[in-house]
Amino acid sequence: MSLLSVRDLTVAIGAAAPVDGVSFEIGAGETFALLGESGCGKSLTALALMRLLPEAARIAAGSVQFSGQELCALTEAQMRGVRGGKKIGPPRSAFGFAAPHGGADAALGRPGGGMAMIFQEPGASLNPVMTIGAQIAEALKFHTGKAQDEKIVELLAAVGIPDPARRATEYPFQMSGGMKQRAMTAMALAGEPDLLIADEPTTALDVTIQAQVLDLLDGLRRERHMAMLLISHDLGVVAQMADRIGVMYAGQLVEVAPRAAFYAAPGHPYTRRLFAALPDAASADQAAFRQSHGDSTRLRRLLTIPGSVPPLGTRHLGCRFVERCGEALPVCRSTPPPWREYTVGQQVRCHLETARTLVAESAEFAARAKVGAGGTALLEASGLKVHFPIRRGVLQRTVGHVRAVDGVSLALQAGRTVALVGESGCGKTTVGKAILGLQAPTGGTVKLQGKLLQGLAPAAMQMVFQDPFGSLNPRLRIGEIIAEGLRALAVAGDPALRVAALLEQVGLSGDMLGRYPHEFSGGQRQRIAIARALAVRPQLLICDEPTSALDVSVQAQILNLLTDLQAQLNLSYLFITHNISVVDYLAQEVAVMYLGRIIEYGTVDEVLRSARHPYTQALLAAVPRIEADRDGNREYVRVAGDPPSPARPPAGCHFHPRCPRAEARCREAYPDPVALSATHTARCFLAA
Amino acid sequence: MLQIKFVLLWSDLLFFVLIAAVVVGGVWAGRVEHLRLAWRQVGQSRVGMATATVLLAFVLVALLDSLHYRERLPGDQENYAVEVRSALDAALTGLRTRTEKTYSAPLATHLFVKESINKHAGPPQVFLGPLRGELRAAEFSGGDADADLGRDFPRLQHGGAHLGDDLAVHDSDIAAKAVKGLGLGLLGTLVFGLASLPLRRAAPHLAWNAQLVTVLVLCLLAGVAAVLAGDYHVLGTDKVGQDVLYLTLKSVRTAILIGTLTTLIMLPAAVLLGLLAGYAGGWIDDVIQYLYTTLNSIPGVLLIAASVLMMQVVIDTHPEWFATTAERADARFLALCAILGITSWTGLCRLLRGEVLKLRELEYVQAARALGVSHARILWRHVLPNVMHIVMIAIVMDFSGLVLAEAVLSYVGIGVDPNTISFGTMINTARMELAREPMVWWSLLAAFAFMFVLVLAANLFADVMRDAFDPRVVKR
Repeated sequence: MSLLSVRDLTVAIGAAAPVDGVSFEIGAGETFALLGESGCGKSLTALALMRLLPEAARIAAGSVQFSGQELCALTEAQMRGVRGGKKIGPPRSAFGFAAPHGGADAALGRPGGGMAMIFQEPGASLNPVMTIGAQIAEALKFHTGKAQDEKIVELLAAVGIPDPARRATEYPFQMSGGMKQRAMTAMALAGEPDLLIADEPTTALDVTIQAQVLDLLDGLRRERHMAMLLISHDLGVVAQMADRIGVMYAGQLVEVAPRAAFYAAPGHPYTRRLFAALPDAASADQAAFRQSHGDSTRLRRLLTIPGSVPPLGTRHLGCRFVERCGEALPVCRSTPPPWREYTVGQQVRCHLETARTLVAESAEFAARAKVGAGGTALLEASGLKVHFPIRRGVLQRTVGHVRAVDGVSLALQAGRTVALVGESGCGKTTVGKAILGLQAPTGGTVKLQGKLLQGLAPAAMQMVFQDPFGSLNPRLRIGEIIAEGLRALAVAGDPALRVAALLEQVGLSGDMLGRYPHEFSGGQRQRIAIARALAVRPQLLICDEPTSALDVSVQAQILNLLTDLQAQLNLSYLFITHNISVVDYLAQEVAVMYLGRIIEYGTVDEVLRSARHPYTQALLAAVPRIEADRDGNREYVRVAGDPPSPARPPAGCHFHPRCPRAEARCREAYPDPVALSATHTARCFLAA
Repeated sequence: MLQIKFVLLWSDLLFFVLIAAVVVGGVWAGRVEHLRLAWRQVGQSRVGMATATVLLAFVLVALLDSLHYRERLPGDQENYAVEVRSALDAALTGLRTRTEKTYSAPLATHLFVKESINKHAGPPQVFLGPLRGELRAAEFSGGDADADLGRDFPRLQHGGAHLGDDLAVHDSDIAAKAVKGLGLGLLGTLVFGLASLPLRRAAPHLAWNAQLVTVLVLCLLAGVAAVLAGDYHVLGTDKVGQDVLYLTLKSVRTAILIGTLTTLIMLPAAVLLGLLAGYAGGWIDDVIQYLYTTLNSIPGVLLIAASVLMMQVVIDTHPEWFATTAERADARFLALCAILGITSWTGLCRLLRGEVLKLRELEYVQAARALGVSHARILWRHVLPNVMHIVMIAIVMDFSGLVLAEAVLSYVGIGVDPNTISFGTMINTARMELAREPMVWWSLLAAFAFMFVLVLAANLFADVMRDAFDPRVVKR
């Protein structure tokens, strides 16, 4: 019998149903992943299981059987026992005394555990004014009736927190993001749950920390024979963790499959398109193309899913994906598709008998921009430094510096893309701002076409920001937003015509300029932001994580747009990102940053396929990849610990405290760049 | 030739400018989409419409009371009376001129205090308190004198004078007049309803019914009061026999003006300094922060008291500046507004600074800087529109606080000029009235009721506005 069995679960918000007839089962000790893009209803499903839905939402239909107990029928008091719980508490009488034993416990037939949940944002789910220990004690006390210190320390040790006795007395602000997520997990484990619901547990974390936390969760699951419901949008994370996978689209499950079958051959047209939209697949094709044709000037276009997710409250007659599906049949419009067995254990909700190969779109290759051979670089930054003073005391004396950027040198040719890769806090965004002049550098020079820049950079350089919602002024029409640069720099010509042309250029319609930003989706807003940057005819775009706030299918659209624009306008990109697969797809050169310095620099092939710096190697290994599973290779090199603070960097090589191969000399001096080829350098003693 | 000369006091001018600005701003807001949406949300809320109607009624009274003039004195030469009157005074001439001798209760026909009355002849003699000599005189005059000279509540000169000696119909007369007033109110509502039909058609989604109900209540109350006020003192009279209803209506202007003009005075400073501190940072931020923390650390009442006393001295030593007492009172009133403004800009300034600190780091501001947009333009186009909701909310929230502050300050004796009729001065005199036995309660109750309705309406309206304008309020 399965541990959790969900039947036709429907969650309603008013008349709309963001979760509509979802059914799945999770066996004891199994990891089931709910996969889907934002707004598909996966988080609401999890909250419905815990009966923690927001006020406006309610469970409209369906049943949730957990350990043979119908959760939808429990009272709120009994439900509290299930949440995170060791036991389903006996129903309390009106006087607050426990009713005689039996009741719910007897129905369970065994001293069962409940279900616990960990959330996406570890910083927001811990109480900032309570110590970690006290928060765990709270959970322990509720579920076991007592909270011994040994038990708290034991839990913290179980989630891999070093020096648990001391850490238990610390407050959340004293811990890093990864530590907080571990502490959160310890709290969830306090009630010894049978089922752990992890809602995007690593989305807010860096990739090396993500790898640590995923390993921890997987280990705990195995150790405690605990089932896990993993909610994620990341195909890579799911590939690494899940036993079975359910794909959600517009409130419904469209595919349920075991991992191997799912990754070998996804069945639903939506799932297949989702895979095709990943840059990983395109990069592989590209590498193959490069080998067979010896031509590196072609770039395989990413496959995109046209249109967007139907808005909440749409009435569906047939299949929900029909408007965006390339293979839709007439029947898809009129009749909801039935579940059909695709391969053994792989259920797909689709009218199509067999999966057809995706249309020829996938083989399309676009021309890359012509790269000016040699000559002077378009952009040359040398020895760039940005130090923020730390002021203390009454007189605000400077007692030290946060070395956000500490001697970064970059060169960028016209028409090329350099990717700046690193984890959060490594200073990559600050590099972008310093080059642009938005942040005054403490030292170093920036040259554009051989001319030394001082103060704010000229229009030749522009920036595209990460957050599509924060980068457009909500009070201005998009026509005004795009025309702003034209007006500020007094560009000749009719602004209205130019704005309309720019909108067409980024794939929007020219008559949209009277609308306000809130009328656009995230992807469209990012297009508008790109149009605004292009308005002043820049030669260089600094793209600061332009796709990391977007869903995979939308990310593909934006990446295609960027490559098209590069080919048309001979643009150069400085692409700041933490997403390795995007780098692999888009960039020609890669610079890896760690704690304010570039530690490895070279072409994409050199850095991503024959990395020499241990940090780069660890970073690459930590990225959950879907191919890894295809190859049956699930071995990962793990880097321990958290990145140190740039205010107090370790002596010697900054990476040595976390480096598995550190030697005595690494602790003494920072290594100089070692030239490994004409284009490849690494700052590591061991690389030589 | 005109029989009157218009007088434009400084506060009138500012008030008209403010109303013009609100009208112009309203037209402008109709063109900007997000403002139009927010205002529409206010209009769709029943509370919003009802409170807006009440506030408009108050503003109408204040507006009438701000149209000042001086009457021409009879005679060949062009001389004008020294009293400055307003359109409201003209409309309420009956109320203003029908003064009694002293206190009388609401709708009473007799004074509230006993007087010695000669029942047979001669004018009634006021019995001025327990003066020993007169008492003795009365005693010595013997039993015969008792019949002539008694102590009783004398009839009012105006209140219920039309009844003559037939006091038995007093109650039925009041009831009949109230019914008549209700009828008039109903008629007024009907006329208003018909007149506003085109508006209803133009914007059918707004909460017009709530507005109509409010108008109905207001019209009924006004109708009853108007009919009764013809022959009675609806809210009684005060110590010198002035009609309390008249005093309360006159107080409305003071309250509204103090609530709005103060904001008008402090707004430019608060917005400018707040934006500058948040956006520029560095030493500018330090100076502005230093300024408002210093100002904030001085007890408000102390600062206001000191400033008011200083200003009073200046006004008293320069009588030649003012042609009439009204001008002098107006100067003092404006000075009070300025002083309240100077002490109350810090809160908004601090709020704005915090918000701008956040906005400054937002990506659209960064993008504008990267495009080479000037700082002034960034502040004007990107920062100011995105903090305007805070300013709007602060204005309506501060309004009620300021109305109450005026009452408190006038009570303490450092508020408006004693000649200026205001809720504060009414409450101040009520202090003595409450200590009397029997108690005179109507003056305080009238001031309290009007102020309560005004402040409650302003507060509820502020809540509705915050819900509509604050982007952080989750819209359901």
